[in-house]
Amino acid sequence: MSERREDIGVVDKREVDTMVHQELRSGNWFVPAADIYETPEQIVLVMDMPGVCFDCAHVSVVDDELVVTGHVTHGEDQDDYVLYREYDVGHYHRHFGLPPTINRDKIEASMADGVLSVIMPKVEEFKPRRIPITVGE
Amino acid sequence: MVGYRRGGDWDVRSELARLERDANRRTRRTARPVTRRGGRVFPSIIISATDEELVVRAEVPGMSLEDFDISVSGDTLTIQGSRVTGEGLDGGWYHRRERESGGFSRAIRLAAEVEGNRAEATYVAGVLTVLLPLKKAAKPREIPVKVVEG
Repeated sequence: MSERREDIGVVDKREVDTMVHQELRSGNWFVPAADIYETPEQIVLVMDMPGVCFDCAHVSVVDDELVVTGHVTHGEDQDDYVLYREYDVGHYHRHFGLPPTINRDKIEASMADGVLSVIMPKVEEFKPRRIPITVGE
Repeated sequence: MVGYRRGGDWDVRSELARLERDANRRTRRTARPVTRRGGRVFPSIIISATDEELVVRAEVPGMSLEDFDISVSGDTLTIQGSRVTGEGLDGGWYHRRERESGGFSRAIRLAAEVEGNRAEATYVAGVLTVLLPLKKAAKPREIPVKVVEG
């Protein structure tokens, strides 16, 4: 086996705790790896959900949480004989607390190449604004 | 690595039957699919087989097929590439960063002879699939036996 390691590492998929999420008992469920970053205008959530096509991902706001679910449709053929396996294929589920700075009505989500992006614009009053300075008397 | 016999004739069907029996036995015992988490080289892979081909899959989301450099040389499949995350950041700051980024290169030795020049790769929903047609088994060679009088 001639393998050499580069600067990207292997991170095992994290399974969803089915003691907490009992509705997810059937099938494999994983917690998608997520990047969260903030700009002055918005908060962006980016998640790896390989095997999920764009119409099999669901994003919803429930109370003060953003709930993300993705059903895997690509990644394993049921008819194939698996000879060797280093990862399991499964669905994805994760909750995120929503801060009050987010405008819940303007949240948008898009999916491409197994990556789900959720763009959450801030409420106007939390966006940076310039305060005009008038000439003092 | 792959843990099946190397060298000589590799009979896919009997090997598959053996693996299936083995897998069923393990599944009964552990109620979990057979998974080796020992793979420490990105990307993690699943190798499966049909009667016609070997199938190597890897989950590498956020790429395009052109970003991969895939080659077959002899019995070795090599998958190389580089994954970039955080390109939309411009001027922002991270709260959480879990998605891996960087270059990768993985060589996978295949335990069956494949026709490398007929290999095909697809990339759908972040899953890379490489199809490697199996070489048709060579015709059994007959060795004439000379009868030596004596």
